[in-house]
Amino acid sequence: MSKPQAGSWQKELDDIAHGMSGAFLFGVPLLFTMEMWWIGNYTEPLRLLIIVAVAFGANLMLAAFAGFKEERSFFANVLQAVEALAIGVVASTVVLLVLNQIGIGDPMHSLLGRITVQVLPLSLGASAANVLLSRGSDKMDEAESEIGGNPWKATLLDLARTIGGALFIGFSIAPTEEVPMLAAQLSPGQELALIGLSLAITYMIVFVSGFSPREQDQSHGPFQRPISETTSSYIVALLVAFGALLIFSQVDLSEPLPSIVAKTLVLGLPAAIGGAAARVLI
Amino acid sequence: MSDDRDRDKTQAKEGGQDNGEKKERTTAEWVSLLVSLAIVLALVGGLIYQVFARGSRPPIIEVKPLMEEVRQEGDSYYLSLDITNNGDRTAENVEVMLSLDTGQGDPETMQFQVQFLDGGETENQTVIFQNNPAEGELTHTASFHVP
Repeated sequence: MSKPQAGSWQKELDDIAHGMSGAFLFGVPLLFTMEMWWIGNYTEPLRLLIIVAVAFGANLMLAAFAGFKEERSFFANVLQAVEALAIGVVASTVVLLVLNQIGIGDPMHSLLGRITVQVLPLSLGASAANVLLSRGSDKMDEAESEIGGNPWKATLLDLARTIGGALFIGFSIAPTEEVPMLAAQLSPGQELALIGLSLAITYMIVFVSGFSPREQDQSHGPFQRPISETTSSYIVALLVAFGALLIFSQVDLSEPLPSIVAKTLVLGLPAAIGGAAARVLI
Repeated sequence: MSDDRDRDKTQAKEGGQDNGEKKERTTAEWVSLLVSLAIVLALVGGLIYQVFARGSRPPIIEVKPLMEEVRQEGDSYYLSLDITNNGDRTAENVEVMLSLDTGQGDPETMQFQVQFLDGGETENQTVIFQNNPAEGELTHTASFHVP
C-alpha cells in the first residue's frame, strides 16, 4: 500500500484520513437524521454501552476480513477496531458540534448519548470504505485463499459479511419513525409478500445481478448454495433487525408478538439488502 | 527518519517473527493507537459513570418566568422563561401552556413545546404577550411524555 520510504507519521495520517473519509461518506446521512439525535437523548446509558460493544464487534469482524491496515493478527484486528471506533467518536463529535446538536453546556447524558448513537455507523463506515475502495481487496483475496475448500470457514466469512452489512443498514434505519409506521399498516398478507420480496431482492443482488463472481460460485459451504444462502442470510438479517429495534427501543418485549414481527419484517428488508450487498462487495 | 529508526529497532528486537506477516508498529502507529484508546475509554468510562451515577427519578418540570427580564418592544411584552427538568429521566414533548389574566377581557393564552428535556437540563424560551405580564396574573400548566 504505502511506499516503504514514506514517513510512518505520514502513513498513519493517511490511514486516519482514509478512515475518517469513509466514516463521513457512509455516516453522514445519519448525522442529519433527527431521530438519531433524539434517541441519543433518551437511550439509557446501559443500552448506549451495548451500542458501543456492538460497534466494536462489528468493526472487529470487518477488521478481520477487510480492515484499513495491513496487519492480520487478532490483536492487530482488535487495535484496528479500537481505532475505527475512535474515528467514529471524533467524527460524530465534530459534526454534531458544528451542527449545534451538542454543546459544552449540555447534560453529560445527552452529550454522550448523541455522540454514541452515531459511533456505530461512522466507525463501520471507516472500516467499510476501505473495502469498497478496494484497499482491502488483497486482504480479502488472502482471506478467500486461506479459506480454500473449507466450507465452514467460507460459511463463517459469509455470515460475518451478512451481519456486517445488515448491521450497517439496519442500524441506520432502526431509529426512524417510518419503521413502526409501516409496520402498523401491514396486513398479514402484505407481511408474507414482504418476506417474499426480501428473499427475491437479496437473491437477485447476490446471484443474478452480475455484481458478484458468486454466480459461478465455487465455494460449497452450507451457506453458499443459492437457496440456502438466501434464506439463512435473511434469517440472520431478521435477527440483526430485531436486535437493532431492541437497542433503539423501537420494540418492547411486552408488546404483542404480531407487532414485534411486523416491525422486524419491515426492518428486515433493508437489513437483508445490506447483508446481500456486503456479501457481494466485501 | 527517527521513526524509521524506531521501526528498525523494534523489527530488530522481534527478528522477523510470524513469517513476516506480522509487522511491528511504528511510533506513529503507537501514538495513534494510544490516542484512539484514550478516546474510546473516555466514552466508555463516561457511559459506565452514567449507568451508576444517573438516578431514576421521573421528570420534574419547573417553569420559571423571568419577570425581571420582561422587555417591551412596541406594543408587545417579551417574557423569558426557564424550563428545567429537576428529575433524572428525560422528558419528551414538554408542552407548556401559559395564561396571562390582567383583569381586562379574556386572558391571553400562549403555548410552546420543548422537544427534549434531559434530567437536570434547562431550556430558555421567550413568549410575546400583548399585555404586561408583570401587571397581571400569570399561570402555567405543562405536560410531557417519558420516552
